[in-house]
Amino acid sequence: MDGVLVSRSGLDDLISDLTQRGYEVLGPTRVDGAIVYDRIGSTADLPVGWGDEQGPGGYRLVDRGDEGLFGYTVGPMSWKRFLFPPRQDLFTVSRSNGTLTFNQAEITAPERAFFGVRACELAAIGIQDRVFLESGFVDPGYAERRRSALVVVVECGTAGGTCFCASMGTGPGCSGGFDLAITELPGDPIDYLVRSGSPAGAALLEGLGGRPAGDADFERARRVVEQAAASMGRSLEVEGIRDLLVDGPEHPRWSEVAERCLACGNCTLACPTCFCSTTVDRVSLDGDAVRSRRWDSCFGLDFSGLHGHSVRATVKSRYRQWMTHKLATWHDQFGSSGCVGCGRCITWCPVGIDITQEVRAIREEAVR
Amino acid sequence: MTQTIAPEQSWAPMLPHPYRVVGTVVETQDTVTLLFESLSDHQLRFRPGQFTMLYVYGVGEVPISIAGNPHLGGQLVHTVRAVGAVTRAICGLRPGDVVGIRGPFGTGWPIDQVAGRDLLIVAGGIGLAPLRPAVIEALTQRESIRQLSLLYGARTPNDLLYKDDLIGWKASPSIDFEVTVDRAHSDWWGDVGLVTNLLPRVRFQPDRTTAFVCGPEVMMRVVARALRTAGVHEDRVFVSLERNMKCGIGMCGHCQYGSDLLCRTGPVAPYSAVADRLKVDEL
Amino acid sequence: MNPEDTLRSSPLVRGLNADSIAFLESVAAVAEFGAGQLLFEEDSAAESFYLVGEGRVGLEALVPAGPAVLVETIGPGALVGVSWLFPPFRWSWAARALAPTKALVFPGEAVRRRCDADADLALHVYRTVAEEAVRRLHSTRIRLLDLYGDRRP
Repeated sequence: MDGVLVSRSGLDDLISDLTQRGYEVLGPTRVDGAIVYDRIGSTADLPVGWGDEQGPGGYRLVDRGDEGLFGYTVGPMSWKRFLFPPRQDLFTVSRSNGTLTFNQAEITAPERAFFGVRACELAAIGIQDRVFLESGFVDPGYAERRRSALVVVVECGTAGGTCFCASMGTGPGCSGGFDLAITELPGDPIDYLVRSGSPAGAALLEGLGGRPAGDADFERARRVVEQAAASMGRSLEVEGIRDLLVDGPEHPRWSEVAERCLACGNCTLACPTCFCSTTVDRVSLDGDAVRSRRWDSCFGLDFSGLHGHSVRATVKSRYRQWMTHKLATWHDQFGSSGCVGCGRCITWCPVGIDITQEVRAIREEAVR
Repeated sequence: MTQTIAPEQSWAPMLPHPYRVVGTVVETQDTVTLLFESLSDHQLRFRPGQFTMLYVYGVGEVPISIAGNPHLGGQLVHTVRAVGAVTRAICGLRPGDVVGIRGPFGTGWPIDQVAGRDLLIVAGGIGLAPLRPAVIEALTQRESIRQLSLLYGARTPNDLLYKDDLIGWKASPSIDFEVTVDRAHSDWWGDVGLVTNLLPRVRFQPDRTTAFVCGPEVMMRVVARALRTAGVHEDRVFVSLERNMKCGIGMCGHCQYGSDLLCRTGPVAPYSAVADRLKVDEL
Repeated sequence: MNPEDTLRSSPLVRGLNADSIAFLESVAAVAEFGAGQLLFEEDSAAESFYLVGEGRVGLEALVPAGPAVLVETIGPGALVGVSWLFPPFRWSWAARALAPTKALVFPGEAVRRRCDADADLALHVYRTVAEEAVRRLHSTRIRLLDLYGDRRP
């Protein structure tokens, strides 16, 4: 794999190059006390010197005051919304000439560069690829937006407070599936190893200055990633998890977690792989009707509405559905786990429910 | 990205086609059968057991089983019970009204697997609607089936669907037809009691029987167990399941039933595959 | 209807000893009912029970200010009446022939007294009645769920 070693200005050159090639460059920015993905024009727009402290039900940014560009992990937002928009018109319906006419809405797919995709997020995109591109019906909007997205990965140097990608096999290192990958190498000055993973990435790499990366550089990058993996504070044991959850709908733990869960759905909003949606039909008085697709959550009471009642009326049944789907039946439907270990559901749960702890509790009581 | 992405497709499976109501039959106080014809060149060829997504302008869209004769092209039949906003609107439609139809979706009754076997069809309530095409199909292929039986249970005689069909099936020598209700008045010509009470009344040889069962989940469970007790193998008993659906094409996640998305690997499934799940509440 | 066939094919006598069968045959009589004719009224004394040979019998509940409601139908080979076996020996429901019906009718008290002395007969009678009662209990409980009704049970 080709790589170059650049300084921070090399990354500025990269962002300029992408912008000049017509990409809308999206990257991590600091907004309202959180890391969110938004347009960036240079490395100055990144959360320079900032880090995050995350735990169950808690998130805050910390100003380290150093020059690190990527010394934080993931915030509440994932890249999901750029490939699978929260709201999307599907078609309009007009009533005339004694019939209904259905017109497909336009698909918008601007050329975008995702600058700063973490390994877990790349894995999540791969999981949504299987959902929207490889499961029968191909979502044409997703396909277009995926085609127009250029992926620049950033490998994590420290594990976030709620991360468990190592045990899920999705990070913190990245060996493929990207156009470019950046590893921040601490030091004075800070170096950046930039690797290409595709012809498009190789073309961009050529335009960067810096010097070709050697074995020592790759070794430094490996150690950075190893340290991130070693500092991970959580793990989820995946061995046999599919059968454990599918066979255990009556496990007492479901009732226990239901006493804490608010069914607020934050976890499904923050989760980079959750894909459930609903259709909404709107009519305007003077115009046509529009059908749109909106993100939806299985925690909603009407998600399972059937003949005037909800199949999953209790919070217990809804939490069980979410976790069983994410960790178990997802395997049956899409051939992999639905979880990438990003920790968002733990951080953004108002009552701090920890999916790794729930799994541990279910395992322990099953063994007894 | 060099990632291989499937060739571009359109949202076609999500786009309804216009269909006009050409006739309605009031079946019961809350159930209507509607006949539709296509207003475009879209023709619906379906297998018994499949469903469409039916869209009412400005109200919404719901999954509805197809209830008509699979060999009669040009006319689409749906039997709808008013249980919510959209179904109430559908039951209020009149000839000339236009709706949107997409489909057909889902798995159908495995009627291609019953040649040389006894076919026992058991319907509860509006569960007769998705089974009606299977009954019609079975009568069309009658010579290839050994014994053909239909058992139908409803709440009261006023809740019986397809009253003209029932009279025809009762009189036909090609099908053994028994009907029961939960309660009735003394002018009722059939049975009163659970539909499983009718099992001893019809001829079928358990080890060469295939059963199609459709109705409320509790009813399907009870019937499947009675069939198991009678010696019919669980692999040869087929049920039809139902969950909330929004897209019908496996994308929205609403119709999940354990590992299955019912719009894809359902609604018809062998009882052996779902027996465990039918025991779990709120799945 | 052949009275002997009707009795001997009933679960009541399957495996029963010859003497007890002979007793049942000796006390049985044939009863015929036209369509619409009552076998017995609700709350009347439960003095006999029936084994349907041909036709159909319905159990009815009297409903104030309205026509009677059929709660069960009983066809050939099945027993009509369980209340004859237990105090207070009164019918909970009315029974009416829904079609021309022929049945075997048995004197309740005589069979009860014979059961006190004849353990084999007692076992068969109580077992047949119990099995039928359990089957009807399940059927009734499921109908109680009102599965075809508007709201979820």
